Amino acid sequence: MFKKILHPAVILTNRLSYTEKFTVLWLLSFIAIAVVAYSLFVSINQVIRPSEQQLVGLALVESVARVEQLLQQHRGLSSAVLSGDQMMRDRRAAKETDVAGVFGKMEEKLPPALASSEDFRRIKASWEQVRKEGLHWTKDENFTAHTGLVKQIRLFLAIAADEYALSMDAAIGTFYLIDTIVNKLPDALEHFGQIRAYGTGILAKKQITEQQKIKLNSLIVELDSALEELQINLEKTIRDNRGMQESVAAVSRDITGSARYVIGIVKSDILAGRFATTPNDFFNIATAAIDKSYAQMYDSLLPTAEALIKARIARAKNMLWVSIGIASLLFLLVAYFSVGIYYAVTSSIQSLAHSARAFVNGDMDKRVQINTRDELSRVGDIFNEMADGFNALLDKHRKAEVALSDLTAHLQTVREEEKANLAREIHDDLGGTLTALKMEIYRLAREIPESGKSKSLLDRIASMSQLLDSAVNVTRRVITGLRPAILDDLGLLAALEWQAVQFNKRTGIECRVNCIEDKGKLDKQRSIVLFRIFQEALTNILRHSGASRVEAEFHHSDDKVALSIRDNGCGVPANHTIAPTSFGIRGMTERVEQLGGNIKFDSPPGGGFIITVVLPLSKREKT
Amino acid sequence: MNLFIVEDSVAVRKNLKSMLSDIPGLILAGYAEDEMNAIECIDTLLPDIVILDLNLKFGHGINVLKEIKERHAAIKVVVLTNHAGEPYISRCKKAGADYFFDKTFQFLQVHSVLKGMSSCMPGSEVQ
Repeated sequence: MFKKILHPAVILTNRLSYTEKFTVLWLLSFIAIAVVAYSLFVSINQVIRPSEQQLVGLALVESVARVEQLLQQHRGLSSAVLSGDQMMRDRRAAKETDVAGVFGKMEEKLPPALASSEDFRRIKASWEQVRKEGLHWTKDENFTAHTGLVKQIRLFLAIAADEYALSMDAAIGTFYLIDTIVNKLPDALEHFGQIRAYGTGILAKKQITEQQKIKLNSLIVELDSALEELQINLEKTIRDNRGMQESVAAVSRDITGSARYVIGIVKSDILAGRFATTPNDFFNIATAAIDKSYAQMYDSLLPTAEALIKARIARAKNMLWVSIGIASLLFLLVAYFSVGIYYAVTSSIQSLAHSARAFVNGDMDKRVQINTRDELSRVGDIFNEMADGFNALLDKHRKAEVALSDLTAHLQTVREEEKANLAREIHDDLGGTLTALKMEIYRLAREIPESGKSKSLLDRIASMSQLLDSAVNVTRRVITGLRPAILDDLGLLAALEWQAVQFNKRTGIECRVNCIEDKGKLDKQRSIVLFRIFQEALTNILRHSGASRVEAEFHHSDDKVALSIRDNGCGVPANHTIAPTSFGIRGMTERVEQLGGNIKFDSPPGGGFIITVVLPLSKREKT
Repeated sequence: MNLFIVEDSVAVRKNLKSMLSDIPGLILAGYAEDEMNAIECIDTLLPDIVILDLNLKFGHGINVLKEIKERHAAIKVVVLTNHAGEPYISRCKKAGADYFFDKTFQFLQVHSVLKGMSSCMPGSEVQ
């Protein structure tokens, strides 16, 4: 089953060279690692991108808060002015300029989409109205318009918070901290601001209605509840960010403390109807308390949130770099080892191929040397075993060849001996008998008187004599064919010369034997070999060469005997081999080699053919 | 006139003997079948004529010829052989043979040569 699944991969990889196989492997592992690294990058980026947006959002939150802060002050001052405190008029005018300033700054920070939104245009319009017409309204109208504007801005901020991923933070700690900054603290401070505006107005008039008392009391209750929610939020923030316990606790303490202090004044001075505090003082005290809280927001909470988010970004980036680093390292490791494996495998294969090639080219002692512990090393071992086996086989074959060669030479020798024996026997027995018979017949004929009667008898005797003559001639021819007596009686040179004459007579081809040196008394073995080569050469010349002249050169010196036969015939084409086709020559060659000599066949470019045989005399015969 | 035959074939020897028996004054002093024997006997018997075959049981007629001519140049040697090639003729002539005949085809000439010699020999008249 597993093999079936792997089948296509096996087929595919079998079609590739090792370089290609490893390239595919590298590519696949690179793609795999790249995909993992990319998905990691994407998922980490999903942390970094919103966090960076949050930072931008927090900056916007600050500028919005500043607008709120100054607008709330403007509300308080307007309330005092409309309640009859003319001394506050200048401060209110100055505050109006401040509000315009921070408003402009906020607008600058807004992204185009928000700046051009309907909500923001309405805020702008409301602010323009409050600014221009505020002092023509009643105190309550003015208060309501200011408060409505603040509410509008707070709603706008909530939308912006969504835009900048501030409303839903994944980490609990930052979620509550951001919620504190965006919602809870501004809520509490808005209630605080409303008390300030209300209180300042009452103190400016130095009288309080029942309705105002109820309103003031309800504002105090709302502030208390807002402070409580703020408290809870801050505690949750601390629980998840132990490191900022001190600073957050201080913020909580400050805000609550200053609120209690201002509420105390409201209760003892305003609600009690004493009105000992001047509106200016009350406004200043409340503003100091509120500003302090805003300052806590700007200087402590916002930077803390920013720091937390930045730390988170840094952590994510760090993780990203570490992941990319690990992925790259992993890839380098894969690349390193695959290249290593590639070179290991290819060098083993090259070594195998090199040895096999050397072996094929005839270096039978070549063996594979792969110093690894893998399967290729085993292949090398098997190759070496094969080489050993092949060598053994070759050795056996060579021995058989030598034996065969010895046998061929031996058969050649035996054949010559048998022919010599046969020739001697025929000559001695048959030859002698025929001669004697011829003499007997002669004598018989002499004893018959010549008369008419005996004429026919004599004729028959003459006929017998003729038959005998032809029998003798045949016998002589056979004997000479078997073994020329001249070779044994008169020596090789005489036999060669005689053979040359016979050849010339028989064929008309001019044939000469030149003797350079003749020490005489050459042994029979060498004599017969050289004589037979000469005969074979002449036969071949007659059959194939079309030569008109043959020249042999005989040289019998102290240490060697050489015979070369040269004709002026057509020669032999370069690619034509003589020895295998001619068993006569082949047998002679074997015999020459047995005698330690050598035989050469040469066909010079100008035509003709040369056979050269050299037999050493010093070297003993091999057999 | 003494004749010595060097010939290893009994039949040939017998025929030669009877063929030459009609030559007056010719005495067969002896015969030999091999080289050593031939040289020894000729040395001892000192015949006037030797009929010499070349192919012997042991040794070779040419050696006998050389020995005879070296020591006793006066002895006439008639080579009568079945080895009738030109190389043999020239060798034997060189070694001093007086006559060279083919044993099968020219044996009659031995008769006439010996007959001629016998008539010239002074001793033959006595017999």
